[in-house]
Amino acid sequence: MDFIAYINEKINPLQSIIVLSGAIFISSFFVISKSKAIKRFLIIVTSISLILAFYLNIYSFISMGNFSNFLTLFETAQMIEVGIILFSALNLLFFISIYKVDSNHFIKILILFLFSTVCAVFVVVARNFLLIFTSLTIFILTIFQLVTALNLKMNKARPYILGYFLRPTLTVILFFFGFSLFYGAADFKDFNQVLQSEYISNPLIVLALIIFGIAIYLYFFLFPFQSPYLKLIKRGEFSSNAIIWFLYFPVGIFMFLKLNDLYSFFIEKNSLYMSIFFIVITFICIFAGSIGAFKTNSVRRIISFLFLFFIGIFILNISMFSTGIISKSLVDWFNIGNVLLVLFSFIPIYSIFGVVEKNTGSDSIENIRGFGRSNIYIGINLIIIFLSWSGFAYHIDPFIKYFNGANFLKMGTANIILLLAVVIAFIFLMINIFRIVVQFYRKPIGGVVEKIIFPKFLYIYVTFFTLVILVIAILGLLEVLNIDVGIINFKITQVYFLR
Amino acid sequence: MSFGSKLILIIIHCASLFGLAISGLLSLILISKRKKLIFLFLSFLFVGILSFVYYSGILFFIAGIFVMFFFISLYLFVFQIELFGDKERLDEKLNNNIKGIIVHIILPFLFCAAIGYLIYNYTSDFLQKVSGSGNIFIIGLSDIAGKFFTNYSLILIIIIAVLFVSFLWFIIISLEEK
Amino acid sequence: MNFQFIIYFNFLLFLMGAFGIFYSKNIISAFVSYQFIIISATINFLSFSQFLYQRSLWGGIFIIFGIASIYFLMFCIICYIYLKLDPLDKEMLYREFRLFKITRSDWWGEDNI
Repeated sequence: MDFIAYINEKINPLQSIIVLSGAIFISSFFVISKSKAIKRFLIIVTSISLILAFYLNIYSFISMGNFSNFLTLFETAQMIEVGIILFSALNLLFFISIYKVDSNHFIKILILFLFSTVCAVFVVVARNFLLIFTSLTIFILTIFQLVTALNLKMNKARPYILGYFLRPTLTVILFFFGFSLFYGAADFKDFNQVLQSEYISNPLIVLALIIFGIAIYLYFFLFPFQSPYLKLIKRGEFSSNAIIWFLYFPVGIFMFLKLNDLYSFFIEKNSLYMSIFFIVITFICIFAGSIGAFKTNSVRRIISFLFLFFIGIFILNISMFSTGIISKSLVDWFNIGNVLLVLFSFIPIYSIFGVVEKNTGSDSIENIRGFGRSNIYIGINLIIIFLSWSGFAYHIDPFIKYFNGANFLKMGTANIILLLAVVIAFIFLMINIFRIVVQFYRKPIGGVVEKIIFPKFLYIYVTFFTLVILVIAILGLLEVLNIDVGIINFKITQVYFLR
Repeated sequence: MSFGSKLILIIIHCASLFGLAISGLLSLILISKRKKLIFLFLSFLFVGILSFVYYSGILFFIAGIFVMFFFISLYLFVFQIELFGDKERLDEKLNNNIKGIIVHIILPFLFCAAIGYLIYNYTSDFLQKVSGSGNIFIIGLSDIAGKFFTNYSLILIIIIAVLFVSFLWFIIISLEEK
Repeated sequence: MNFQFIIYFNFLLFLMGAFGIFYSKNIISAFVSYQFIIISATINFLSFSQFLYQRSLWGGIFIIFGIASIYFLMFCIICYIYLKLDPLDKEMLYREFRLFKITRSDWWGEDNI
């Protein structure tokens, strides 16, 4: 036991990475195998390693507390982010196993997938600029390799994969330039040193932060640069779309959260021009996402647009912080809450619609007409999951508190415009949800709807997500109504554990 | 350092910066892809000379290995298209309409010029106050190797791992899946 | 050599790369303009190491790891184009490819492809 504790201490905080590397090592012995039994064995090994990594991630934090050294930093925020990545990877294993298990290269794809998860964890725990940059570049490389490997048979998607991945390539090149400017300002090696020094207002650092901001904006394919993302999602294979939504985007969000402290230093000064800038970007992203989702009849494009809508919510959080409506700790909580909301809703939605598209042959919204009548259980689950998006209404709460505290007329134009943006965004989101739910219960064109046969595992899978959403919704509702349940001493609306 | 050697360094410095700028501009503007790549390679060589001027010549050799792979692959791609492609389809039609010229040439040029002017205004005060050290420090391979294996061994492990994993990826994309 | 002049020259190279990104009509031009941003960052690191910091290897080490990772990424992208794309798609990339293109099909027309 002493030996295990000694090893545990030595490899802290990379326990999850070591476990995943062990899974890669085991898988590498079976690289050229095409046997189904070995594929099933490796799926089990991979899922056990992901679950073990998830457990070790939390256990190491609870037993050994915060950790930081020259290269890495492991605090509460990193523990949560690594947990989110590992949870996301476990779900992605489901997608890859369902859609790619018959491929001759399945085991190689599994190794690529595990390695991309390892790189994603490195991006999160990295503290040193060099480790951040190298791990981000290699993460983008492994995602590119994974997406190309998953789309081997999709001839239509190939040029669009290139169009897509040239954008994150530009992101890392801009990051390279930005880090060179950081070096010019001061010989610092991580963001904390910059934040705590007097050099933070140095012109070179400000320029570097602007370049980082542009790089991250390009990484997320926000409007008006969304073209390659939409085109790839429309033509890509099911599991590669899942990789992009549930691994590529979360890592970008966590990269953005690393820079958040530095941006907050400037945003806290409540400059009017900065607020206006963020409000304009918020309007563009949120409205373009919701209008785009409403205009299209393709389910894939609806999900793509709505995903960009939720990415725009991160900018909304910054806008609310810039006008002073919410504090820094609440911004962190809103951001993490948004990531969890996105993952817990989009994963089951896409898993169901992926099977629907596979059965019907196209992703037209007409194919889900009458879906709720033929597949009652899945339909109800989907409606609950869609309604979880109404949790976005919690963004209005800080405005209500502001109303109670201040005179309406003195609220300031920026805050009123922002409140209007939040309300209109919420209405658009509800319209999109309503449109899809109505489609579930409309009479089908042909008169009779064939019941779509879902794999039995999918029923359990979707039920799990629905239950989690229901539990959180009920707890949140009780807190909002100020009803003390008394079972657990945990309040969702007052989680400030990140600071 | 003698005045003569300082003068030589300044001349090489100016010449390589000038050469870099000219070859860069040419590679941007020229239409022929082969000439673009030739001038790009020239600008890469000028960067190499600059690295010697900055006493970091060893970096050019180490980094150059990776850059060479990229250049070779890019050349192979261009030559494959030019040798085996359909000549009629490949001839680039010049964008003669006014809208194309405004949107793709004039607007970006004005935008970049405006950004450059803003950067100049914003950083001029700070950069004027910066005083550099006159000491020369030549980077040696042993210094770099020492740093690699003491502080940055983790990053080295990641890069080596990605080379192994990429080998699998090369196998995937080069084998035809039936 | 004047330190200020070198920094402004690097920014000029960066802006040349940015201009090239908007101006590029094919994938080769896109890669060429990427190189300028990388070159300007490299010279930034080298000049800052030489002028500002004594015995600091950080710039050199960042260049080695950075160039290795970025160029390996671009090498893999070019390999994929070379090995996996149809000749027609390759010629399309070679002839017309814009990094930033705002098309109508982002908003309508792509429902049935």
